[in-house]
Amino acid sequence: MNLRIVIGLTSCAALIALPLFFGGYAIRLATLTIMWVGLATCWNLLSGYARYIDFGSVVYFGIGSYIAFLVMARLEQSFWVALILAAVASGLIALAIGIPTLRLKGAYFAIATFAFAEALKQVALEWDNLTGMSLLGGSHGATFPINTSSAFFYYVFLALTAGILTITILTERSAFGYALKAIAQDEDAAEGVGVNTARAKAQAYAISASFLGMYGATESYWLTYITPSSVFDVHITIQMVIMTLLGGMGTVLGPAVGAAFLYLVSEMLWARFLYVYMAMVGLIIIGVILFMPQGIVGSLRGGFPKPHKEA
Amino acid sequence: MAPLLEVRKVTCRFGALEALADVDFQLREGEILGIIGPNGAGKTTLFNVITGSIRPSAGEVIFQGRKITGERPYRICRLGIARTSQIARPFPGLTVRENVLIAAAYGKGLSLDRARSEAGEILTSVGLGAVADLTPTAISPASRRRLELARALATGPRALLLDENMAGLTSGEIGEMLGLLNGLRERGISMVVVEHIIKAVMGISDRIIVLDHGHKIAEGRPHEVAADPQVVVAYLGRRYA
Repeated sequence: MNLRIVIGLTSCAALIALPLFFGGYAIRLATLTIMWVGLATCWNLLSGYARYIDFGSVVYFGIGSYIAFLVMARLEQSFWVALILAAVASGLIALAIGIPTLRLKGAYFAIATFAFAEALKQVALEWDNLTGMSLLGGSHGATFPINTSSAFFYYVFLALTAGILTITILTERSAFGYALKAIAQDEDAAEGVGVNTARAKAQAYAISASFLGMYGATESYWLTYITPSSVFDVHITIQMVIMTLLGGMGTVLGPAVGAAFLYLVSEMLWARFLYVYMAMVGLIIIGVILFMPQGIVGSLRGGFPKPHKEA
Repeated sequence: MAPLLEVRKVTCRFGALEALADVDFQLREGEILGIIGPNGAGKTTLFNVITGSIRPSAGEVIFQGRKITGERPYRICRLGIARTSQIARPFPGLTVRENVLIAAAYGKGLSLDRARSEAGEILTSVGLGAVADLTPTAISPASRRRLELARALATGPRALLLDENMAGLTSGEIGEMLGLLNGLRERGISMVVVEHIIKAVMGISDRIIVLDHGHKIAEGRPHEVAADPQVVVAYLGRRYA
């Protein structure tokens, strides 16, 4: 336990001090790694613990991006106002969408969330054409005010990721975490022992959506230019799913390990083997899934939940 | 005195099948009520209606003077009705203790620490103290039955619905389970017991109702019911009546 605290504090200090010693590529690499760790951790909260496979998580990333654009570019408010509104809007939209769709199970929930994300991408693309306003910029994209401080974005992402990881740790130790795990294993039985399953699922969904909204807002401000296709890109969802599966669903560290592993490995392979790196990444994913079906962290410590065994 | 639980004219249709037809019964405070009937008589459907997992086509369920038909299952559990399932359904990825802890935390509304100690006490009282930290897949079927009971008890029920809680147990294990249930009655928990093992249910019940094809065909003290010609017909056919 003491060792864990020492390691934890040391790595926190190292992460905070990082921008003082590195710049350019290194800080950019660290920022993106931290962002992906956070995105995968968001996905894990509902989909990993309660096993409601969300295939449209990117929608809240996109909503957050466009809220930030409206607040910063159209209303000319600060990034912090944008960040808060992105979180609130994403969370509220998630409640409105989640309460009906979380009644669907298995593949049906996955399809519904996927469809919602694709639908909202089309809305963002066609809004201006359809309404005659010039609000979102459609396929021409939307441009943010410029902030060139890479340390700024590094720290914002670090804070967001620390936040969602803390929430995951607290969840793991609380009745809420048990409720999510129980829902994953037998939802009717969970309801039968007093768990308000609809509420627990909606909570997890809304918390993860709020954070995804903030990630979207921050990354878009960092990139300064977005289009509906870039911020509602289904590949962002797929990346979160693969990273979480690689690391281990329903564990605190799984998505973080999976995200850091996949992001850094693809980055290294990309730099050396430009033409074949995607195939190599694919092979690595297949290898991990074959030999560590519960993910890296899950396999290392026989993680939760175990395959459903009938006695 | 008003009954603890009252089922009024409950009818439940699935398409053309009438699983329950105008079923009435009352569960009094401190009572053990047995429900018997051939396979498909509607016993499990009746439990599903009471606990809120099925909405009846007609009729209502009253608990402690309050209509609970249409409430969500988790609300009904928190009001004080718990059940065990015919097929034990523990959460397989959690330990035995965690299974019970969830029920105490949510069904009874305890903090996690208090739920944990409550779970420990309940597991000891049903004889599972020694296996509390194993997973449900690692314990015997008889122990899984007890776990099912422990989980229901942890929600702090006033009324406990037991759905074939003794199926598949040896006669020694049935004796132990009956002992446990008698202990619960002394603690003021009323029970509805659905059971195929007639000897067990006759021995423990104060009153018995008999269901056949969704209809209540008899109600009374165990020996009266056993002598009822209609009951004999339902179980054995007209020839034996």
